[in-house]
Amino acid sequence: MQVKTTRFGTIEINETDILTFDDGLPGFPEDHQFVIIPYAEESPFVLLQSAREDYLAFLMTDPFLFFNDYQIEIDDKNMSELKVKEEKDVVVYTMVTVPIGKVKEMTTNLVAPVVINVHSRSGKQIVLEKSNYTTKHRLFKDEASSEGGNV
Amino acid sequence: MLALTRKPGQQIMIGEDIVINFVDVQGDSVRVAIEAPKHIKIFRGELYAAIIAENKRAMDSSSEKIELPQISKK
Repeated sequence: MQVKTTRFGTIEINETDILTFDDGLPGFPEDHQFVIIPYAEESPFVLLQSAREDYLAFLMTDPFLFFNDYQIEIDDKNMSELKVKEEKDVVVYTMVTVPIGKVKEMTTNLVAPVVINVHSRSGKQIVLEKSNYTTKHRLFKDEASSEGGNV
Repeated sequence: MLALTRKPGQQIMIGEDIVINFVDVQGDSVRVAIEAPKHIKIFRGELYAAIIAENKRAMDSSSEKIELPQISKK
C-alpha cells in the first residue's frame, strides 16, 4: 500500500509494516496507524509517519546511541497494553525537535519515549513520570562543532 | 468545575477507589498523596502539557528538509 509523506513524497510500504498506536500520541489522539521510515542509509534518525496524514510525522532517534546511561522503566499497565512478554520484544525511540536553521541544537524528548513492540506491531508514547528526564535534551554538545558531530 | 477547600490531613475521594490525601502545605506548595488503582495513570499536569507541546514542535520540524548529522554507530 502507499503512504503519502510531506518529507519523502509517496512511498510504498507493506501493510505488515504498520504499527498501531491505540491511544494515538499525546496531542494527536486521532491517528492510530504509523510506519517507521529510515531517514537515510546508516542514519541514526527515522521518521514516525502517519499512514493517514502526510503532514503528521515525527523525527525520532535511538536514544541509547546518544545517551549511554539512558534508562526507562515500563510499568505493568504499559507492558500489558503493548503486550510485551520479554525485553527483546521492545524497541525504544525518542522524538527529536530541530530548531529552524539550527540543526546542531536539536533536542530529544527523553521523558516520553516511543516504545514499540516489534512482535505485536503496537506502539505507545509513554511518560516516565518518576524520572528526572525532560522533554529537551541536546543531542550534540556545543564543543562538538568539529565536523561529523560524532558522539 | 468543583472547588473544595481542604486542610492538611483531610481527604477527597473520587469515585470509590481514588483517594487524594492532602498531606502538607508549605508556603506556596501543597503535598498530596494519591491512592488509586494501578490502571489509573497519574501525571503532573504540566508534564503532560509539556509533552503535547514538544510533540507539536517535533512534528513541525519533521517536514523541514534538513541535513541531519551522521554519527558513527558504535
